Amino acid sequence: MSRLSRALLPVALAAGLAAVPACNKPASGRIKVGVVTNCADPFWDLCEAGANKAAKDFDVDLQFRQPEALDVSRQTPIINSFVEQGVKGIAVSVINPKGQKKDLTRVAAEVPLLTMDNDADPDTGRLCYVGVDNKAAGRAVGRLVKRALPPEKGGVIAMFIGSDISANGGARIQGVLDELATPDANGADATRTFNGRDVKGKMYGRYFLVDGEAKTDGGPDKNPQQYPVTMLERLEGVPDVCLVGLYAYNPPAILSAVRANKLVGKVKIVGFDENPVTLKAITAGEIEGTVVQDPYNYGYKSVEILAAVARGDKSKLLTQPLPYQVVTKDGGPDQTADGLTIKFPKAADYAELVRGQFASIGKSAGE
Amino acid sequence: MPTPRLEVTAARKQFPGVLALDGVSLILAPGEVLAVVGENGAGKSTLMKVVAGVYRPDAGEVRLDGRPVRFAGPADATAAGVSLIHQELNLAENLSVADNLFLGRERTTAGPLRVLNRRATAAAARDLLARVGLPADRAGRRVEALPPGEKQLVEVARALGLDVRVLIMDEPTSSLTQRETETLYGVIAGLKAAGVSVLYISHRLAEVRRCADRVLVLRDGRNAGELTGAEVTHDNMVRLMVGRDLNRFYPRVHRSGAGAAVLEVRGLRYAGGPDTPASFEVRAGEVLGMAGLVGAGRTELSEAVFGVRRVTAGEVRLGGEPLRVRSPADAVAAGVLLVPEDRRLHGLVLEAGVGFNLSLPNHDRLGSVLGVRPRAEAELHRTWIDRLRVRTPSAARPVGLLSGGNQQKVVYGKWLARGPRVLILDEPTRGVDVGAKAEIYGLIDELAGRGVGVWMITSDMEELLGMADRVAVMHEGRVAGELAGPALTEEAVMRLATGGAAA
Amino acid sequence: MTRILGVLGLLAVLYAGLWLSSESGLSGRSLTSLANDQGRYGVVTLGAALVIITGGIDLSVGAVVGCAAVLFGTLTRDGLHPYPAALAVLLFGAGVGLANGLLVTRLKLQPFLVTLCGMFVFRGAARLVGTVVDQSQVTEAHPEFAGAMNALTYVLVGKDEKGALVFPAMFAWLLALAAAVGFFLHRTAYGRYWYAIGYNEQAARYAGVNVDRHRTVVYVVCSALAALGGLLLFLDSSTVQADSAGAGQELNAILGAVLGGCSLRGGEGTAVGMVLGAMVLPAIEKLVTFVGMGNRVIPVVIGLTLLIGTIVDELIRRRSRLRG
Repeated sequence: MSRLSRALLPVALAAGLAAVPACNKPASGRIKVGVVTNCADPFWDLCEAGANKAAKDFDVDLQFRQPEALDVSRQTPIINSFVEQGVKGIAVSVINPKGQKKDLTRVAAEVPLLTMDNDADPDTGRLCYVGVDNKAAGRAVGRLVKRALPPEKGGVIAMFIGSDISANGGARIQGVLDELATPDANGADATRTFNGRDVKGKMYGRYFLVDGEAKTDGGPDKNPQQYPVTMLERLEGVPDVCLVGLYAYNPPAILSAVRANKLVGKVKIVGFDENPVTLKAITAGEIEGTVVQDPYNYGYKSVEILAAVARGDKSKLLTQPLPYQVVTKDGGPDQTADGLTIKFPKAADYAELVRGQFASIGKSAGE
Repeated sequence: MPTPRLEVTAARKQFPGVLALDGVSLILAPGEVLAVVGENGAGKSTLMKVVAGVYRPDAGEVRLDGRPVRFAGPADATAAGVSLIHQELNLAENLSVADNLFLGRERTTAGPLRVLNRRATAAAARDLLARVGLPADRAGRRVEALPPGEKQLVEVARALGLDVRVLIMDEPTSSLTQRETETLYGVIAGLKAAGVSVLYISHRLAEVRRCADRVLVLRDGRNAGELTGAEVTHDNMVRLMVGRDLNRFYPRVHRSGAGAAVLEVRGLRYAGGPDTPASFEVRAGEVLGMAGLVGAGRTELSEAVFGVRRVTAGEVRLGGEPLRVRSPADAVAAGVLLVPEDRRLHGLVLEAGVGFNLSLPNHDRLGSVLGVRPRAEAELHRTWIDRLRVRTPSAARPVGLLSGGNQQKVVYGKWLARGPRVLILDEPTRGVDVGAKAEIYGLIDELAGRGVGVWMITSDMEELLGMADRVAVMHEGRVAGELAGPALTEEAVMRLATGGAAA
Repeated sequence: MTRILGVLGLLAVLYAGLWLSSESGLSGRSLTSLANDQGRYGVVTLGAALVIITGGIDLSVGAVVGCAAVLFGTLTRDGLHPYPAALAVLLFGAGVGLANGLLVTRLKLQPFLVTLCGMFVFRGAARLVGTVVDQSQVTEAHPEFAGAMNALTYVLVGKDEKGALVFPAMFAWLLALAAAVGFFLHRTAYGRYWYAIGYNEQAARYAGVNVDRHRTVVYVVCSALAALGGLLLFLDSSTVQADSAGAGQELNAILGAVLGGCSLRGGEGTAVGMVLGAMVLPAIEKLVTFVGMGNRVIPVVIGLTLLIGTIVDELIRRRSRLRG
């Protein structure tokens, strides 16, 4: 025993010290920037890939953190320690724009701060917003819903999202509903009877939104599958159903629930973001289509802008949202909406692109 | 002389700060029963553990059937036919008796699955149980459901199952009733006849006298002497053990007759108890002995009075006033104090220090509950460690590291510091060596002399007859009769305890 | 003493790592913010450790933290002045503890089960009370509370009205509370009883200790401290989410207690150890950020660091036992 402990003790201490790469002290003069997302997700892996590429292209040190949970109290300490380390720029995917306003204002006063994917109140003094116009992207989702269930006939829709308080969540939901609504049916209360049970909801055009609200699941770590599963049980036998997933992990969760109930093709699915599972399912015809934000570009742009600002160059700040893209099975020609050029790539092509981005950070596109 | 079964020559074992064995030797012939006696700390347990392979001696030699052996561990010794039955029982309480009998060598099917062969196990278990006089139906019971005496017999049965050649029994009767002890004697006689050699450690000198061929007395880690045949007398053994004469083992120096009843138990029944109510009284200044077979309900009755068990009928009066006890806290506050049967489980916080244990029930006297006065506490510790002659290097020593006798003294000390009105003693000297026993008896006499009512539950007949002024005998939950003066004999006690009428 | 050697060594390694990792790793500013995080962890750890000392366990701690945070936000948003609201939240915590304690002692239920159920109940309760609360909601609805809210934040959390950390108030509170816990644990009869119950409940009962009452008291203290942790969480973070606030805190608290020398078997532990144990996890979390470690390796590194710390701790303890 004592011989063992004598051998183990220094080993253990050495291992403890080795866990701390002492060589990581930044070489003086090198610019360091930090990116923090709102949670951990493959979506953010793509963003990380883009950020890494930009860090190399623009010669800066990058710290890219994905907090384990969609929770401000996990994100705030990371932002704070970026500030304490003296980074020269921070990009944040804001979780609660109102609640975080005070903190972000304080940070922005000290370090160049930009928001990405989820905007904050411009009064915080953030440099700019790197991301799509989520309301416009939501409208694009709405158009996909109309493609799946033509507006003359309408149908039953249910929406799933991680959080409806974040700026992007709220805007996306609103965009979808705005697109579906007609002047005479914009959120009117309604009740329908499914399987002998009355279900309350709201009407947007001829579309009945189950429960009258998007179902929020709290994040990918909170078992999001259960929500579409329950929904399908409630909607058993109901025709013309379309389930809409508005966060990256929602469409795959919906898809597995639909597959489990052997309803592929009968229940329509419209997604958001480019989860590899989503893309593959679009190619297979199981999902109608998805609206993608190109997170790789978010990461790349954010680091590019922060690097330029750190060197005194403010010319790269964005003045308008980045364009979203609409991915369908067969793709289509570019269109113009809200002053942006919107691409319509084919799912198979886009999946190939995403695979390459994943590969650049040593991850396979998990399917 | 034939080759001895076991021979230990000049065994020496040093522990940090203690020389436990200082050249002890013994010879054990095949089919011989050798009793090893001595005060705690004399080296008995160490010697047994050296023989059983738990410890390796620093010097000296152990020979088995003439060949020197060096056991790597107890498993090694067991394989060679040397088995030790511990003083502290080593049974897995949550398993059945049969499971325990074959623990580690289960009767199973061949192959890697090792499926238990229930039928073979049951048959073998019945066989072993029969050899120690236990009914066959015990095989399927969980060990925790057995009375302590039967547990001990299960331990013996387990050793028998190991084809034992040298059986070491460490205080085997400490938790046995009279009847179970008799059974054990029968088992030992059977082993002897089968050529098994037995090393028998006991504090009960009367037993040693009955079942041992020879007696080896140890003192301070050395051989103090050997007694054979007619030399084996109580006085000789005690003289060798303590190195002086113990002129009065059961003192009656301080007692000067009983006063009024201090504790009256009237028609008491309690949750989970028998339907028959129990009534008796303890008078100030007397030692009331309470006898009965294991399972007669003596411990349970004392627990009901002490507030551990819920009283469902009847009443308890203390000094003539009704006493309502809902928890031990109430009993303690009233001055009715219990020295429990199982001091390791109920009496002491073994991991904590001697002082911690002495202070535990006395915090109301050690300053306000908001802060303990260190000086008052140190004073309390010093007083009782000195007065009871607790052998401990300091008050901080974890009480579990002390000998049984010193542990028991700490239990007494924590109550004496409170000043008891009624002191309930449940097996007051179990697992306590002779020297400490004498001290405890002196203490009991002194307490009774000061007017404390002492209610002493004991299964040790010598102790009962030696110490009690009056004896209440319990049978199946009720007090079957009371004996005092000339009527108080071993036979009378046994008759009442087994359901007979008082003579 | 040997009980805290291991955790002291672990902390020394972690702080050395911080120093090596970045020029600002041991700056006053980063130490202050680290200390504050440690304070918030520690307050909750103290209570959990006391329960562990008495041989129990409280898994509802994290949910109570979250529920208390949401409750405070909702109460103040709906018009209850922050001071009485803070008191109400602490009383809520005490009430939870009382319920836990009575269920464990009166109905003789397993603490693990009772508090696991509590974990679900109070997490759910938090969601029923409100989904997301933040200080801006409160001050928008009731601008007159801004003064009191800022004062509370300053005194309890050490942040000024702009949200800048001025001094590590939570660490100061941890020290003050630990001193109180230490006093009760090591200087009063209460502490003796708690240790005795943890070591050997039966012996304590037979010694006339009112075991049930003391157990209950300890659960009350634990949950009240968890509620205080929730209050701190609300004041410290810009947003509190009902579904995740305080999640996992029960395990962090148990971890801190055990690292600090409490035995899950009960009967062991010191106030100093609890503070040191609670300091470990925030320090590791700080360190991995400062080192700029990749997201995917962080959980592994945290787990291994704790494991190595535990092994070293155990080895030191065994050596000292061999010598003793």
